[in-house]
Amino acid sequence: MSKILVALAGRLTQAVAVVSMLALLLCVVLGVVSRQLNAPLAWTDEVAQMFLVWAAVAGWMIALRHRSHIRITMLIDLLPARARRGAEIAIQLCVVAFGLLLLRYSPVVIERSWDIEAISLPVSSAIIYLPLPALAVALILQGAAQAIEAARGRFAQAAAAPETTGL
Amino acid sequence: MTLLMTEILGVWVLALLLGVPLFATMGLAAFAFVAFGGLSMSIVPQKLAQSVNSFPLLAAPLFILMGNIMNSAGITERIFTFATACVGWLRGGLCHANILGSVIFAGMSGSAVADAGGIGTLEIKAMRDEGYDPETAAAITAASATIGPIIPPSLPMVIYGVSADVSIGGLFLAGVVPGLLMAVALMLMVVHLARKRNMPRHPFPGVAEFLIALKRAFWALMTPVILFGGMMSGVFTPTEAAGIATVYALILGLFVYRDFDLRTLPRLMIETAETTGVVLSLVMTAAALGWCLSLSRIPQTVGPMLTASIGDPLLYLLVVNLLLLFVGCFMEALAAMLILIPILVPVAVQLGIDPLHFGLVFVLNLMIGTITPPVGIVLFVTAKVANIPFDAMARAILPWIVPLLAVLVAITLWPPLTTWLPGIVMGR
Repeated sequence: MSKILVALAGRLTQAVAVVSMLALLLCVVLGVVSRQLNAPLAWTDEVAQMFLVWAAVAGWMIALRHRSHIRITMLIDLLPARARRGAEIAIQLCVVAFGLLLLRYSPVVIERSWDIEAISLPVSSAIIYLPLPALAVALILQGAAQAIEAARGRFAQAAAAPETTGL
Repeated sequence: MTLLMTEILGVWVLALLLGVPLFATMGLAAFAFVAFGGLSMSIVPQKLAQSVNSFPLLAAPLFILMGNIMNSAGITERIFTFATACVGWLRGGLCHANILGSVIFAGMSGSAVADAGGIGTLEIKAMRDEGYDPETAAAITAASATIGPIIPPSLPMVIYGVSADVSIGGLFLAGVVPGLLMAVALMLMVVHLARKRNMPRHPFPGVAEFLIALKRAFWALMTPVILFGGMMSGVFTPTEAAGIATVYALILGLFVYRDFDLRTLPRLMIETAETTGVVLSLVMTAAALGWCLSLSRIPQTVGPMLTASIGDPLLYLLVVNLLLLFVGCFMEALAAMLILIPILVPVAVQLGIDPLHFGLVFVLNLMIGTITPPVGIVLFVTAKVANIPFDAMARAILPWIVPLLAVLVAITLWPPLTTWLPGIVMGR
């Protein structure tokens, strides 16, 4: 059951990423085209920016699952196995702590900005904060899963190919 | 609050070195600062989302997507064939073609990693098939990949421009001459090594073969023209240029070259979102921490201290070069950029160093850092593509770092190499 839920959450995140990427591309192009046609649209920039926040958070969650976020492991790689295991558990608990703080305080921002309207469209400006609680849950679950793996003595390598990330 | 932030930064550096993911170290440091500083905790999530609610930053995923489409649509193969027809007849021809291919690809992609993993794969295979040893093939590919983010468009320059509040269009223009100089410097190194190692050369292709290669690659070669033409004529901004160029790459792949399968687009978008997530998670948390830093007045305290102790701009640039080269050996370029910009840039401004000049010095240092062991992401990628051990790769790259360092010294000592073109085009 939990495996099905994880797979579903993964597919949903990927779908959000694809839709956000497509939407932000369309908005940017539409902005240029409408301007050239002398009929500029006021909302394209703002909507593209909103989708950028969603794409960034969805990408953050995909990278979490693929363990492709940047970290410096040069020093802990030198530790003996037992100490390495303890260090890895502590590291993942830091990720969980960050997720818990985000889960506690991101709904506060959503609530406070809910009634504030976006500049160019009649939608709530809280739309840019909406994906943060989902990110927080992903941080908590992924961190906890990796901490449990580390406690069992398993250190999974990054699943993502290195050429898909980085500058 | 300065003392509080100093204590938090101490713990933060420790966590960073102990392997806590960088986004978590910066996010937790920001939460710690607002918690102990008696501020509202909800400021941190607010800063996270607001920092990427930015129009210039839209260029980041769009340039990544464009590079991914170019790599998937067979466009890179056409570029490499064209580059081989141009310079393959020289001694060490495929080394020259590797560099020229990277220069052309740099005008379409903004990432050294995309260059190494994309066109680099073709280049290494072609060189190995022609009898080059895999270490040389991988090393020249890694070295030429660093040109990617210097010649516009450039992902690091977008991040630098947004973080340091410098014109992204200006940075793009400032990168043209240094990027071409890097290519020339690497080619001179090839000339030297080709004679010494008696490297192979292709027969002269003749005008007909050259024209065929040009015709095959023509529409791909037009990408930088569209990008620059649009930006310079004022038709679109650098961010919009990224969107237009992405659509152009899609049209090329789908309707002109017909090598691109539309069914791969969702996969490319997911990969792009993932890279964007890695990059922007750091931008978001660095923005939250940066806000805390400015509130704690640390940059305002450290800045005058540095300005007083290093009063000379040239001396400061020398110190920055050494620092960034050292940091680049041990830290990923993006991380180093976001951590050091709030500290180093204000001092450069106080010392009267041109922001575009400083930006280029900053980015070039960190790009050299991507090919310096022990931590060099481009080295990892090329070693993997060439299927050689990392330590062999680390040894093979050393001679190729020398010409890049020579260019770094040149642009450090002579600012017009970076400021001349923006001066002409933008009237600065």
